[in-house]
Amino acid sequence: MRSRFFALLVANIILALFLTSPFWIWNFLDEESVTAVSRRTGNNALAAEYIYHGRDIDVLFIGSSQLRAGVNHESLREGYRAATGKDIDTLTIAHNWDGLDLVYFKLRDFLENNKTNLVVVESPNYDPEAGNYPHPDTKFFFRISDDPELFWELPKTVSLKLYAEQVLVAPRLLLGAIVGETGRDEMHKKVAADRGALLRSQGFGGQAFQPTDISAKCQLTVDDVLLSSSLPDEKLFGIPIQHWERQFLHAIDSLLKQNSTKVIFVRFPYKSFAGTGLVERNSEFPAYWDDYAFTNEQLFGDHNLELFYYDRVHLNTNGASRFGECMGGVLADMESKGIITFSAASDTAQKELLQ
Amino acid sequence: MTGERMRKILLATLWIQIGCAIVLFQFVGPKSLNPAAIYGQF
Repeated sequence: MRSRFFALLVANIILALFLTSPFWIWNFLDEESVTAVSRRTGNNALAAEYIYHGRDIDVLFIGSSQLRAGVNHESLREGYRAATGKDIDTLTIAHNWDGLDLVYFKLRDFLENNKTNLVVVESPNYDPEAGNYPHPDTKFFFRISDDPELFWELPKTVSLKLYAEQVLVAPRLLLGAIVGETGRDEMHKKVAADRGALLRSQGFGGQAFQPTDISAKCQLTVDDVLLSSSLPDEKLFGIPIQHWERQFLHAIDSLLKQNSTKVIFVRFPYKSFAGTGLVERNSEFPAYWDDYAFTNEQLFGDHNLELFYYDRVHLNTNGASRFGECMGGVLADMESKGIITFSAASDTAQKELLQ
Repeated sequence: MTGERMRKILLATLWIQIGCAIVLFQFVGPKSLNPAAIYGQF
């Protein structure tokens, strides 16, 4: 009888601790505990490495797999250097699928630990969950105690989803804190080797890859890619977003203002993207908040698009190199027009020289 | 309070908590329930 009583008591306590874990677990965990759960959930460990042990950089690219596959940093640096004669330090932090909530939480932690002159957020191009769920990786980066107001202001269906997902992952995070990092795989190393990008030398839809280099120099300027018109309330860059996602947009905006960091949203091309439905600079967001869109025509002219994509929405190495070159030119143009100044690369070089 | 009464209360609390857990996990997203699918796409 007595042992049954204690078994019930212990079961109650364990279950209560489990169900309330989002409120207390982070008192026992480092923010970077996510490094311990990398193997089954993509490259969050690498993101954590960049976020918690990173460095000051010029431009941070943050977004989904379109971004991870679509920016060749070496080409970007060459494009920028060709226009300015200077170096630029850039980095990609990308996750599978779009999610403004995850972008916010990663940015918050990144800016707490590092500085960047410009954040380039990949504009959501599609919404695989119809906007009904937080990003599946948000549970690793979200901490109620760090953003209590944001948490309680979210619609209850969303905050409950966030809460439930963190309850589910709490035992794994605790185990990770005890066991430590569970090892890295080949994919992690590949991504780490290219500043967070993952370029694929694959032909479209399984076709043989044909290395293609567009000989014409990319001449795009800010004015060519800047979208201008007015932003409908329910849409971001023509993509419908939910009210709660908009709350995260405002949170991103406040965060960047506090850190005096500028932001642009970039809409990546996809194979059928014709560049219509222009969207706008938006006075709702006081931080520097411009929307850029790179169209297939601007990037690849009249070349066969299948040379530049490995599937319908992801650029391959050919496309990423061209995008990088063009983006480098646009960043140089932003600087020449006095919109922004990049200095992290030269600061780093200076520090290395002094050492 | 008798031991028997306390045991009943604990049992009821346990069932309530189990009920809460079942309801809570209805909110978990389909992709979170299958992280291997995420990794597979990566």
